Amino acid sequence: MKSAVKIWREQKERLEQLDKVGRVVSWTRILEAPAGFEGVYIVVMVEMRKGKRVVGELIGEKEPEFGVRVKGVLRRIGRGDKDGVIEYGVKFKLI
Amino acid sequence: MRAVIKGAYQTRFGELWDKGMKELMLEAGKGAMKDAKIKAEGIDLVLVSNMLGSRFENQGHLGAMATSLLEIKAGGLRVEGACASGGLAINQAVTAIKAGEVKTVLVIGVEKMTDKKVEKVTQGLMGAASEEERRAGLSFVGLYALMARRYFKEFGAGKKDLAYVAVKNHSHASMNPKAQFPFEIDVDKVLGSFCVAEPLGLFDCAPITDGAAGLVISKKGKDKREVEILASEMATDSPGLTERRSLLELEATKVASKKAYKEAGIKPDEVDMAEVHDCFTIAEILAIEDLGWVKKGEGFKAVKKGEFSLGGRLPVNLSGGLKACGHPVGATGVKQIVEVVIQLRGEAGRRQKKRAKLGLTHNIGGTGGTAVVHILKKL
Repeated sequence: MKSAVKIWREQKERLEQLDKVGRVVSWTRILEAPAGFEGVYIVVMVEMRKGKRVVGELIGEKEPEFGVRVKGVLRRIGRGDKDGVIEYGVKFKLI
Repeated sequence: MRAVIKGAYQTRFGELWDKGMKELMLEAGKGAMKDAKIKAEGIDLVLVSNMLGSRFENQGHLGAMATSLLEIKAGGLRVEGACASGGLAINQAVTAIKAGEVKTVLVIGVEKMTDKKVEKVTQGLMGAASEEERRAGLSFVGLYALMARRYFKEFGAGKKDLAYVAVKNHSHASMNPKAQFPFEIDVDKVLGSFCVAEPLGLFDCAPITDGAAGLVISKKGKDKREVEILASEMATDSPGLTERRSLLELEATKVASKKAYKEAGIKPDEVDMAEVHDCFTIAEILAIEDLGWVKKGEGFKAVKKGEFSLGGRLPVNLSGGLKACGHPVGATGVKQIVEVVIQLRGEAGRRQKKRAKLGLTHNIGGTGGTAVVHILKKL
């Protein structure tokens, strides 16, 4: 179950990479998703400036390469749940 | 004070439709006590290692459940550290014995996983990862896939190199009647399996498994079948992969094993056989490197050459490992010790490593958030 309060509390952390740019250091295409997520999608590990690493979904179906630049954008995260809470966070797109 | 294993038992691992968590716990506990020739009155403490019971079975109160099932008057409690729960429970048993608080501890590792749908199990296991990794939609296969791809890039390895780990462990499991997959496979079978999280396919992954294992750990006595615990060490790191210093090694493995070799007073290459945490094929490659048996980046070549197969210089995962014996997460760390005990006693049948005197186990929680290393010696 998703808690709207929890998501609100975590806003600062969740949106930290919004509009930030980093480079892809690794990636995987997930074909067997955990409950709460759907379909086939790519997750990238990104190295941001100062060396901090983060992970997030890559928008689109195009396979990235090592070192390509990506930017954080605001997107819906996972499926909505029974209580109707829709979760937003940062995903990445190739630039 | 010296701690020894007096009794060891493993239930069959697999998709056990006719057995629930209670039946598995009872069988493992009774089996270990019978092997140790000890009765309920002789047990001073029960430790149950389990990760998912509170989530999947809505039952987390496993210490009380185990003592009541086995009619043991002494107290009991649950130990949890993701897939390293078993190793941690044994570590705590040894600590309690060495502290002089108790004389004999029963450790039961148990997990019931196959009642749930795969996507629920995948989600449940992600409880061992970081919040950020869960939000990214990663699975455990996905996390290890991120490491594998990086490893490929750095050291020029590929999917085919990983396949040899699965082939080896299946070959060992074919000689283990307790294994979930007691049959051989070839490289083509691994490479032809469907992809779970690129670049890892189904045969790169340990399965979803039901099973339990039990140990009776005590102060050293006079029984010739006793196996001594020379070292029991753990280390922890960040639960999330993003905060690690390197993606090419598990630092917790290095720290725990360094301490364990020191405690046991041995060098890494003195180990005769080992059970390592091969939740994914890439994990075994990282493990044999981080445990000091091959140089970083050389592990996949050594596996292909057969150095870690039965008959090689240091057989690894003679039980079949997590890959082919099965991976009931809370039971895995306990089962690893059971296998080493069987090997050191010379009771392993066709998969017996000849003249095995020193055995090592390596149990990981998450992607390396917890590592537990044990070194055992034949007395």
